[in-house]
Amino acid sequence: MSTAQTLPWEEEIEEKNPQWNEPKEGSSKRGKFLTESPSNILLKAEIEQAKRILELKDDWDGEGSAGYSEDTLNRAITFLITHAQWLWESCGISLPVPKIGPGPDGSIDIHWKQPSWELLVNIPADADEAATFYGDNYGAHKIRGSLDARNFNLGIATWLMN
Amino acid sequence: MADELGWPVEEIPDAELVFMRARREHIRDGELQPGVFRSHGNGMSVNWERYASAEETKQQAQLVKKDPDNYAVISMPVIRIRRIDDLRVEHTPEPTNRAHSDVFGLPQKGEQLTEIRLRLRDIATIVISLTL
Repeated sequence: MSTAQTLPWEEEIEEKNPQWNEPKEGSSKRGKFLTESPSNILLKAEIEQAKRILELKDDWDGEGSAGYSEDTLNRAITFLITHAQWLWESCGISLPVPKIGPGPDGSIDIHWKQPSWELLVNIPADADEAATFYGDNYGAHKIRGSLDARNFNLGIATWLMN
Repeated sequence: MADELGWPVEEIPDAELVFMRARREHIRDGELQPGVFRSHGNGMSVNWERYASAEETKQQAQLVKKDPDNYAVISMPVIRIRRIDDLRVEHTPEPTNRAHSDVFGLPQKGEQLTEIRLRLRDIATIVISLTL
């Protein structure tokens, strides 16, 4: 097991979600989620680099775009880890690592571009607004909707299993 | 004379391209990210290829006091933009930029905006990569 120093995001997530660090009763995938998932290293790296979004202040692009708050980024990361953990613990599937990036109006984008599908989840700056998503499998199947980013969403998790 | 009279507004043919700058933050591992698509004011500013090249579009970053080296440039076929929901591509020349045009019709927020941003990303091509 890795003995690497815990990342700041890990500390915060572990503090807010201690249940993620408890072995799941009856699960064949015991142990801490953040250190067991095979794609964990890449996912943690992506989360770490996403912190740079917070350096973008109001009018960062010279065209009036809003800056980004730690709260918005936290909600985006919580959403991501919630679904990553579910996929790992329930299905033994590693979440494909998305790109976390600056969206419009202080929102955060979580974007997956895979060979057979694509998905964009947008976490708004206003915590009272629903997150929105759009997905496409490059064929006949498309999904679009709104969700509560604070909660697990089975539809999104199912799409991520494609 | 152009400053006094302004450039004439023209119809942009479907078959042509528009260019748009994409900031470094919207390019990851050489791929364009959907966050680049956003309205500033009424529309999303682009340049019509007839009156500005991709390189000229990149250099125009100086007009907003930004370093051109922090930008890539993307192109999008006008016809493919017009096929996305209610988007319109219209020539809106400015005194210092005859090529200036706008993509109108992006929703302010919501599901439709998220969808449109991803669909725009899928029709865009990076024509000038970021300066490393």
